[in-house]
Amino acid sequence: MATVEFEGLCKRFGPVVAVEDVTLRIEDGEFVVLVGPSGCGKSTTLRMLAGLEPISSGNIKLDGRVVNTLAPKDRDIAMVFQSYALYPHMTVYKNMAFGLKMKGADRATIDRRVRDVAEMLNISALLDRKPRALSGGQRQRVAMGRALVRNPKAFLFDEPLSNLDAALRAQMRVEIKKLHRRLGTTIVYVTHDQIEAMTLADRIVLMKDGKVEQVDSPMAMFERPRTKFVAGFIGTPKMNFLPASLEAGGGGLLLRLSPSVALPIPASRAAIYELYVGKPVELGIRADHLVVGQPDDPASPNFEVLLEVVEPTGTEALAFFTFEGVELSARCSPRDTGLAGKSAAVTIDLDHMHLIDAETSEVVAVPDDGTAPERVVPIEQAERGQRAVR
Amino acid sequence: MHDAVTQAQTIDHSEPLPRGRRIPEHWWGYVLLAPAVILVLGLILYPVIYSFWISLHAKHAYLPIENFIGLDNYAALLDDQEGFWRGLKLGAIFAVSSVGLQLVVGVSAAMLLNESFIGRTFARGVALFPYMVPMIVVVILMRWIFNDSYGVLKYLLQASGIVDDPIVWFSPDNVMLTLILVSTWTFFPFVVIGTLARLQTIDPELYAAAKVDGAGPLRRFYHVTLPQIRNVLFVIVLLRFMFMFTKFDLIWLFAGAGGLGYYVRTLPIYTYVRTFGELQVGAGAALSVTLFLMLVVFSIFYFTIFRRDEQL
Repeated sequence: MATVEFEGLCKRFGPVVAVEDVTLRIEDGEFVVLVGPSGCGKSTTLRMLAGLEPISSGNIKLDGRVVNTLAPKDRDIAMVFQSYALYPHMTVYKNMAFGLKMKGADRATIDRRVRDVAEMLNISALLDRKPRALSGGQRQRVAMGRALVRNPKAFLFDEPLSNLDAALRAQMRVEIKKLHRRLGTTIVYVTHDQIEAMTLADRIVLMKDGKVEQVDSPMAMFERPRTKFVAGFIGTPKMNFLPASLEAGGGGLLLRLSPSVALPIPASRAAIYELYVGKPVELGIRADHLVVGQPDDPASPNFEVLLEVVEPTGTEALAFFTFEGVELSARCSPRDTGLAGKSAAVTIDLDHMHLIDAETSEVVAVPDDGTAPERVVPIEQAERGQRAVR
Repeated sequence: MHDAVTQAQTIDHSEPLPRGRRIPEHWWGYVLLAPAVILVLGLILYPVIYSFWISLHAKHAYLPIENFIGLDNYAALLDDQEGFWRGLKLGAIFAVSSVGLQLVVGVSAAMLLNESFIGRTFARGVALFPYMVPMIVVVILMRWIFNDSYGVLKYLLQASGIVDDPIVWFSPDNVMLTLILVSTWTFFPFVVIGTLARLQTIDPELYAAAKVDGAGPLRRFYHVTLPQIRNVLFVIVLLRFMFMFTKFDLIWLFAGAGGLGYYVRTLPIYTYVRTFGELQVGAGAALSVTLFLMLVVFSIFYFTIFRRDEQL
């Protein structure tokens, strides 16, 4: 069990800055997911924490102790790798026992630990097999088992599920979550998959170009992204972005999407958005809040579009259309698949809109709708990640 | 089969051929294989069998004398302490020491060349250089370098204070060592090529995992690298040992038949001396067949002892 702290952590490979000024505090027992597109520095950050990559500047602390130059073995952490990195010539048992053996544990202790963990992970029957005789999912379990056996202060996961098929990935996600609940050990988990991040994390650290873009709980990040990048990265389908402008009119504020479509902005937001009248802005809206069909309330803002494709997903369907030259997606009823190729009204729920300052790509912060009166922390502060957890 | 028949009949109708000139389709396979088979049999099997046949005769190289004497040539080998047994011993010393050194140098070099550093590609090229130098050039070069009065090695060893008196590399005592060193230099790139190719396929995450597991450099070599390159080393050792045990050119060019050559008269050299020096072709053939059989037996033992049926 351990707290992990990064203070101004930097990594440079020659002229390339891979990780830039990352500051973050991970609480004891917390499950933190580093997520971002490839090349954003998340794996490098993890490898620095593991001691596999020397740091260029800054500090890494484990339980308050600076471990910058400590060898991996002296950090008391365990790591699960994307390729699983099981020793191919050793049996599952020996793979799991290797770390303890290197530590100089006695045979009885090793045996007890390996068998306990194998039991916990349901791999007792595989102990005598070699890795090549295992399926992807089994290898994954063994890799986790190897980490668990050591009973480390923290677990590091580097894209552990990337090599599994979708169904197995979903299953392993649940198991990892259960495991964390059961063990309560600090976990730092790297993935490029935002769904993994959303489902697993207590807190998500979203990285881009070596910097931390936002640190937040999954739902907070989903509902209150601070930048256009975060808004676009988190959530499936991807958030819709549409160039727009704000203008005064109709006794309030209007969001103009096209020469013919201007929608009234809810009063609660108008006061905040007023500052952006006449400035280049973008509308960010999720498909969930862009619904095909006439609104129940005729006063709700809506506009006509030509639906190009309708994709049923079971419980609902997604409709795709082009508006002002931008491809957008909207939610629709799975019964509406026949609407493809036809005109339909799309209702937009501007209570859930995000206004993006087109110059800075930042989302204009709005107080949460009464439920949480807290104002969103300014971006500079978020980058330093010093916001308290939970 | 049915298809073939149908097709043949179709052809019959369109282009009738006399019955006797047709070759059944399944024979074509043998016909097409024949040139290759004849080549292999003629170039490989025939000489081996012929040399075994000669070894059963008392045969002079030039004179038309060829008397069948059964296994007498082989029986004579068993009593030939000075030639056969001594040659076997010298050959074993040469092959085992040289292969051992080639392995140590080759694997170390491969591991170095597997690291990333500036100029790695160049260094890899240079490392393969000795293997490409023609043997006669190697010998001339090394005769100069190892010369005990004006060789650069003598100068370096003395200038660096490692030795006071020059080492006479081409003396009865030292010539074996010299040849082992030279052969190591010439042939270690073979080990490098095989090992480096294998090293490059090892998942770097294995090393990361071993580091996290607490294994230091030596244990990483022993627990990660070695098991991974084991299979390729198996083949390399087998090939290198056979090459070195039958090495002729290097030793012959360095030491020749008599004088110094006596101290490195390994089996291949002795075989040559018997055959073309003493013109005893029958005895020479018996030696070469024995050499061949020894390698076969060695290979069988080698496979049964070291080969575990294990693919990584």
